[in-house]
Amino acid sequence: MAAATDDAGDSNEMIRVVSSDGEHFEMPEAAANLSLVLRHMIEDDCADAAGIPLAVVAAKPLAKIVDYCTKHAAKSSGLTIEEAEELKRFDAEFIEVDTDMLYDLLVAADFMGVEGLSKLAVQRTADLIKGKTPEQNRETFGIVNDFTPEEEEEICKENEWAFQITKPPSRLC
Amino acid sequence: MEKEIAALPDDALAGVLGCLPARSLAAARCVCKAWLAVVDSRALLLPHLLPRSVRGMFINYIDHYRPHLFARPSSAAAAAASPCNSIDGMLGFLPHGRYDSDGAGRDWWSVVDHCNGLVLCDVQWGSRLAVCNPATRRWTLAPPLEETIRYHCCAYLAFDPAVSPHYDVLAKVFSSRTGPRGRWEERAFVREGEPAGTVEDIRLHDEEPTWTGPRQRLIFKNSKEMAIDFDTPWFNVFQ
Repeated sequence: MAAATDDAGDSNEMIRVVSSDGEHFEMPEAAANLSLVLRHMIEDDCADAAGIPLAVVAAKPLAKIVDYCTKHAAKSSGLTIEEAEELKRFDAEFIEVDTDMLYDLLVAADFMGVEGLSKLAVQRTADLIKGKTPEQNRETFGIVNDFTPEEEEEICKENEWAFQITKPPSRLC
Repeated sequence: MEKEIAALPDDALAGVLGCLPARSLAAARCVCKAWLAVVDSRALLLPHLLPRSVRGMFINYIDHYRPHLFARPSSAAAAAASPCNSIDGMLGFLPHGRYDSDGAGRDWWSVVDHCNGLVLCDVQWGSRLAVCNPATRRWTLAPPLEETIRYHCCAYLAFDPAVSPHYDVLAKVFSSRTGPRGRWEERAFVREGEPAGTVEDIRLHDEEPTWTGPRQRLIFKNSKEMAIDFDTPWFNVFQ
């Protein structure tokens, strides 16, 4: 019985984290536990009043990650169908961000070991790339075309089938 | 300076590109050098391009020692557009009698084994083994084994392009004391774990021994790690 009270007490405890640019954030311990890095820090008693410093995560993405973890931790177990649907809607809205933020989230989620967010950001990035021409992709992500015209022609030729309406080849050439 | 998805660490970028369907992945390959490098170095496109269906079959005859490839003919237009669309089932690209000093040629040959698009043939009346790719028309002659053996019942080909671009030719040796000869390397294989169920059902030959002798089954997990149904686990290996 005493243990159960302790558990309840723990999950209400707020964990403080500090972004690379010095901003402080708070989230419930259950939310922080969604990050592998934070969980290990908490287990090792490194979570104190000063906050856990996250050297490579800036305030903007960290605010989003705290949001994400808080939402998902509150709804972690025993989801009803409606709650699962709601969480899905939350995720879809959550990841509607510009490519700068997407980049920050990809890197930060990977660094902090937030698996669900990593998957979400990876899938969102893949969705942005999907079905686009190389030129459209360069535009979307602000990538400089570093091929010479000859190289580009050569490489595009290797994957000619990708730019045709027909089916991909059924075997390796 | 705008942040670029291309600036992602390779692992993260590979994770993203790995989610793409084949066509988008091929287009992504043309975006910039960093993306090209990730797609190519990790062979992300390869599993999409591997054959998923039987393209044709080689038939060895008993009274005519020259097999035929039975396959749906590719259209003339497709063949003209891309030479790799036409498979040379007669292996006409093998130079007749020029690949060995004795000039024996490939007048008589048969298909010994095949694996994921590569064909293993015995040439020069069964004295030598050649690995051929009938689609790219490239071929290699394996160095001769000192011991005269009937290749057609004891040589196998292992090749899984999704795992490695290298192939192995396995020739069963009847004495484990034969030792390495030339570039052949003697190697022992043992089955590791249970054989893969789906592949195990593939029967290469009838269970009854034929005039060429019974063939046994090789069960590959991948090209480097294999489980084999053999009483003699000794092979000479040519890579």
